[in-house]
Amino acid sequence: MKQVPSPLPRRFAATDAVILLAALALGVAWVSQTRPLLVRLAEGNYLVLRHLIHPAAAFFVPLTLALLIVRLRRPRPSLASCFRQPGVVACSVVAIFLVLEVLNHFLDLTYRLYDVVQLDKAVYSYKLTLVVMRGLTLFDSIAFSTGAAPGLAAAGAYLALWSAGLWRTEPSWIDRAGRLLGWFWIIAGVAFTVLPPWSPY
Amino acid sequence: MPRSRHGVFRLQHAMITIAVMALGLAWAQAEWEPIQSFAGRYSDRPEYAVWYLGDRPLYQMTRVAIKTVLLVATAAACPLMVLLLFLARRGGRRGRFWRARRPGAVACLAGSVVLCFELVHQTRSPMASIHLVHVSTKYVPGSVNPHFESMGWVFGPLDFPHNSWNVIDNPLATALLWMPRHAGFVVAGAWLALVLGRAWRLEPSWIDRAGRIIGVFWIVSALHFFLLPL
Repeated sequence: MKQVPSPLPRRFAATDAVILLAALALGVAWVSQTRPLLVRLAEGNYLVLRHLIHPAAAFFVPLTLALLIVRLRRPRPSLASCFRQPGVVACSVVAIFLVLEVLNHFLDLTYRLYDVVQLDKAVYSYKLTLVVMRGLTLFDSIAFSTGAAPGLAAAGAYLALWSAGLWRTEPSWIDRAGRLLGWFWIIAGVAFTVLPPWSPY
Repeated sequence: MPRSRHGVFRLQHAMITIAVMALGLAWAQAEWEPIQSFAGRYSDRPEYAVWYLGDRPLYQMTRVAIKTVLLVATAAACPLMVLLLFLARRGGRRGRFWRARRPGAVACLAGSVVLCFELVHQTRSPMASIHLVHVSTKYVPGSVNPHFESMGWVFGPLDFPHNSWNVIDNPLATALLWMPRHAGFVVAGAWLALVLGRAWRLEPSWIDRAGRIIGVFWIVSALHFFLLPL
């Protein structure tokens, strides 16, 4: 992996702090706002890991967008250099797929449903119930659907950067944070892919 | 960009391409029943041995046809993608990494990784390899589609008075069903990384063109299931 020094070392500025704090606040508000949905999703669900990933994904959506904004503010390297940094690429790809998700919500193309495995103690068996999701807010919709698509896309982006020899890390807090977020989205994507029982599709 | 020798389409390329596509179609034929079940035709249950067309027969028939074509094309594309990745190992101009800046090669690499992941995951995790196709016998007025499909872990009997389930528990079949949903996102992410990093290098060879076509197919399939899942 190549590591190139940034031509313009970027320090953590007050504006960056304001943007990131705003994103953190938005993330907390988002998780609070979608809590009823998340609790509903968790009913009868026995996979603790999945309980954690849905709120975490909702929490990290604003932070991902904020980090992209912070990275693209000047002073910064050229755009071509920026978009060879894995952190920036991961945030950009995730942002594009979030836009797709927003479009999907407004176009109302997806007939949303999920299934919940419930334990029926009377007969000691699990029942699988399909529940159709209707009347979701935009935040609900994104919180419900984020996971697989952005994470898989981030994995593809990392694969392309690695295989094409474009992986240019920068020894700065922005790129490190972006890389961490990229790995979070990849782990979330794989988790959403391999962990049933409900499918966001 | 000068045309390199590896980009010339030869007779042995035609032969091996036909052979791997035949292998893919044989896979589709072996999993024909799950494909049909998933696409909405409930032919493995005598009581539902007709297409449930609801009140929108044209819509339903189109949906069944599109899903069937997508899954058969998936079965044909998977071995072809691996072959193209093998053929693309040579070529390019600047050593090992440069070759993968070709979008076709990147699409084949990303798709092959997803294919390996799906096969390993579906084979090693028997619970995850159960794919349920929900068959509703109770028409709900106003519903877009009475056909649900779902993937779940089931530990006990499913008890529904008005529903039944087609259970697809063959790992090769479930890998085939999940491949077009996941590969497109990985390919799209990889291509976005190339475009954003200004590393999109088209190569005028049949291998790269075929790889690009397969990449577009994966993206279209993923968007189909993402936006129109039923």
